Amino acid sequence: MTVSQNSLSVSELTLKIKSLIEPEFSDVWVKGEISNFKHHTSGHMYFTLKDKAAELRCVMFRGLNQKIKFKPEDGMDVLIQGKVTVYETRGQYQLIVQAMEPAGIGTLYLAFEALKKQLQSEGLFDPAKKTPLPKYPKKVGIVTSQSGAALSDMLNIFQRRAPYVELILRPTVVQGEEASRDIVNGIIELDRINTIDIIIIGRGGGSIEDLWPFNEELLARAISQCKTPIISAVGHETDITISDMVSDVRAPTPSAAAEISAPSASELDQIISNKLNELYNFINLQLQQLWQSLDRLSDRHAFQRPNAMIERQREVETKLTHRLSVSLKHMISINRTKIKGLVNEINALNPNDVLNRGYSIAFKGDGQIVRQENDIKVGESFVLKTGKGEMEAEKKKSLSI
Amino acid sequence: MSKEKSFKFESAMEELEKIVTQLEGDNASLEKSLELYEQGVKIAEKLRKHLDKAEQRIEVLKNNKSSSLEIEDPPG
Repeated sequence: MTVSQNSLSVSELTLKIKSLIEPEFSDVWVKGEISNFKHHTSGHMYFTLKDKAAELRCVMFRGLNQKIKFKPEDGMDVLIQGKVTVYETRGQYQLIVQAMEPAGIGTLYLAFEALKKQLQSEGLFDPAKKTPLPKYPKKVGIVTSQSGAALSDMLNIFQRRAPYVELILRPTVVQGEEASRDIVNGIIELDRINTIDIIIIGRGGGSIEDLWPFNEELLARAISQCKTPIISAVGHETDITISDMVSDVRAPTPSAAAEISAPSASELDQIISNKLNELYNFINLQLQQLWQSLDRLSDRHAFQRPNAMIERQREVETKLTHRLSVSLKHMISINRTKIKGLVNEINALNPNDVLNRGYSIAFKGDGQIVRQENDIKVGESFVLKTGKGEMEAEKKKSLSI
Repeated sequence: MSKEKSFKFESAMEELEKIVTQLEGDNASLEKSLELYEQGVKIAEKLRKHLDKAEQRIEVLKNNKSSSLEIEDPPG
């Protein structure tokens, strides 16, 4: 084994160090004092963070340091969030700063982050846990300072938009040590009033310390346990508190909370108008349909001329009667002819008629009609009946036929 | 005041919506529909009247006692 075979190049070693350090410290919080602060013309900030025993090189790039709300300077205690990187070309490690706060506030930030993480893991921000706001609230409870701008903003909005909403104010302290406890009590008191549909908690803008009561765990838990839906409206649009996250609805400002909580009277009026229109349209449609089917029915022959049926029946009857009488007459006339014929026939059969036409009948002595030559013997006498008168005659001899 | 309290705005709105959906579902006889219609119109009138005459009422809770006091002009 030779030494040269196991040796690393500087680059290789640096790379190894980098790969060990960087994943381990990709998101760290560090407290310390600023020294050698330099805001370079490039916009990046370079400084050293130190305490009694150590120093750490820091860089905060332009894009991020523009968001800092204070002016960092030497000697200032700060809290920094960032990641450690290794700068190979100079063999140095440094902290790339993501966020920086003055240390006093920095501790609040830490507390905020810790509580947020804790409550999140408990599911207090779970969207499924949020109670929807009632559509048409009648009574809204407000927990805020009686002398604050937040209240006057909200009252203005309510008076302008929704004067029909009843308001119940539970005045509280909104900053300082006692605030969160007072707000919690306010929430509990209003939650007990069954007729309250929504509770608004909030205050106007202020420093992070001013808003701090709305980041307390006690308040977060009270909000989470409150049965009445809660709107949280703390500070300005950009201020987001734990209270905002636990509440059922977060309003960017107290004014917005007042707007969100209830539809305006004119909106309601519009909704009512729409419903009335719908009602009217439905009933109208139904009536139209009924009219149509009624029209369709009355268009039918039977309804258009109510007497037609009777008339037609009468017509049929007349025709029948007519036919009956005609056929009766016919029958009578036919029969008459028949009778005439019969009479003629009967007349034709009358023997006197035949005799009148010149025929004669011969009767034997016993009254029998002579029908053939040999009915009478030669020399036998017989009576000959003519059309007018009879005579006695005698057979002289037979004549051959 | 007690009369006003007995009137539940939200349930009246819901009632109105229910009537509309009921009418929408047709199949109802004309008599029933007309009845629903009249009912709907009455409720809508009530709701409107309520909105029209509503004046903001503000109650302030103090020491667990509620007092119905008109708040002075909102503090600036």
